Amino acid sequence: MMKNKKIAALLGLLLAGSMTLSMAACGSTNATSDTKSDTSSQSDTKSDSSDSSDTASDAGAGFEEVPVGPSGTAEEQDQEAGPLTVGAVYFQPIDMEPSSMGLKAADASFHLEADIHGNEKATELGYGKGDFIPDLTVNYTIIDKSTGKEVEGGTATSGTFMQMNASDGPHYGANVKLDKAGTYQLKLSIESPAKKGWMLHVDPETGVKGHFWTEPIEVTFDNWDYTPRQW
Amino acid sequence: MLEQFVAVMPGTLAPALLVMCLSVMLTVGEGRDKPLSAHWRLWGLVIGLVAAVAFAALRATAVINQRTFVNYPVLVVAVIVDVLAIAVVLCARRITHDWDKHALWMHVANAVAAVQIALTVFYALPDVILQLTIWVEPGETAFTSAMLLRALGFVLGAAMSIVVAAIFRTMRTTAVRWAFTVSVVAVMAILLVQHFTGLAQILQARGFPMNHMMFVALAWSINHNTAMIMAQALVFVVPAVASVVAGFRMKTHNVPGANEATLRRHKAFRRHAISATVWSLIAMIGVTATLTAGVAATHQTITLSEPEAYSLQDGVATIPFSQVEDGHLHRFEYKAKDGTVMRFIIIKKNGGAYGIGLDACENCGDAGYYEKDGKIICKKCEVAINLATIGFKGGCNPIPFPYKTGNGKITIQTADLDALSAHFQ
Repeated sequence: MMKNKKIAALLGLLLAGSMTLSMAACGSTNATSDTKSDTSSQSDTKSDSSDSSDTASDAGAGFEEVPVGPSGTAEEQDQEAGPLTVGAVYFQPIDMEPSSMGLKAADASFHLEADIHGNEKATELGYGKGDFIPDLTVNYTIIDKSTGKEVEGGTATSGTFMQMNASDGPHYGANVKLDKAGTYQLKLSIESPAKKGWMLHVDPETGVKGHFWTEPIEVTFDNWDYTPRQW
Repeated sequence: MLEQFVAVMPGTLAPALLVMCLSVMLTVGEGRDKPLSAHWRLWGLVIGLVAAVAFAALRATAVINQRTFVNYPVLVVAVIVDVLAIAVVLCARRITHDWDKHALWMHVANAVAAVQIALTVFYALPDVILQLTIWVEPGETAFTSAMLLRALGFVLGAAMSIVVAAIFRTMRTTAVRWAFTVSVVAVMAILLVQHFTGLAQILQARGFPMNHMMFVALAWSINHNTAMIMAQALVFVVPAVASVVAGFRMKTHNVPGANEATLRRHKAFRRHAISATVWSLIAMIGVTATLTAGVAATHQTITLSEPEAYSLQDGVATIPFSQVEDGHLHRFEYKAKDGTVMRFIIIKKNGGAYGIGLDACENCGDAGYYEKDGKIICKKCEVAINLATIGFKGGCNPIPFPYKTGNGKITIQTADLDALSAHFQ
């Protein structure tokens, strides 16, 4: 009987050990998906966002960001569109305040985020290169590639992103519910800050050279291989 | 309650079936005549449960902020162990027969089974436990009757899985061994597919090179998970048929050389075989109904209530307070000058003021709002609108427009509505 118990305890230890080992092992797995620190220590861990080597080291410490794109895409695929550099990622659904502005995290599958920054051309509008551009109107639609129409069966699979701040800075985003795995297309239609009344100086001394775009800038993230995930 | 039930039952069914299957396949001996590894499977279950609860708690409290980094190694091991466990089940007859002559193999089989149970429970249950996070609605206290119903749904869901597994277990003595083994192997093969799918999904999100065909296969597997869970229950139709056949074959009279006691035993077997089959079929119907009708009932499509009548004269719409002061949502329709059919809503707020806006918002267009359990909800994004914020711009709030209240009525200039017709085009 005593021996029996000992062996049972040993098995328990073995199991627990193997689980701990596997957990520990994952710290060194080469997590190519981007991870993002949600603590203030981000600035010193990420000096160059294009360098993927630093992201592996904090796997497990930060929450997981998955790029919107085809399978094999491990990094956010930035696109240049007019004065904007546009990237799209999704990650765990999150609660925001005020709460009536979108789906609550418990009811959503993921948080979809558009990272929109100024590029070289944006300097003509008075923005610094790499600056977040505020007050854009970013409309989004998730299209099912198999039907060519907006995906069915989800919630908030199209609409207008709200602008919001996370620990890594401001972005445009929304919580989305989409349980069906498939190949999708994310279409963004970005209207200029002028729509929300943003003005530009035009005088020779203080004015900017450029003018806001008048037709929405369309950006498409194609062949998005999406699977609903356990966050 | 139904939502929790239909989420929890499918999540717990596979672990419950696995524990039952391995117990039927590997249990040997009675009393003291048992291998020292007899309790290992139980230990596997306990460790898996405790680890799952701890992991879910750490995730829910955001101590751990992603599950993938734990699930990844767990699934790698689970896939390997699943294959080994299928081999164990296929050889179970040989291992359990005269087990004391090759006790080591018995221990190996129990060890593999224990690890498989622990990993399966550990992987499956956090999803179920994390359902807890949606129990309490924001701004709601934890102890409400709605909360009690949700808790009941959760408990009933888990209970149903255990009951279903227990019912299938009753066929272990009435169905021929190979028929039961077929179901067990099928359950475990599906489990292997589910674990492999989970692993492939993690790899895909981590940038593992995957061509389109591979992704289509992965997506198919993910989208058919419900069908796979149903299949795990429906495969028990094999022992059910075998059981009923064995029952009817059992002769209860005119057996040469059989005494009364033997005949009574035969009758009892037949009764047991038939009832095991009937109950198993009921359990299969129950699982199928939960996953089809039950899930469909939680995804009912909402139809907006019909618009109400109001007076429209000389470019002014007039709605008396008496029509809209009951605290419920009232919908009205208006045909704009450009021919667009528009809708607007009126609801009396708690403070006595009226919340008035278009039946449309900036985010979701003209999807419209409906009333449920005293809340106003957007039909498209399902956001419950805070009554106090109706009348303010932004988010999924109804788009406001000017109106006047006084003399017991609300008056709206139709020109103000005409100006907003674009929201309904």
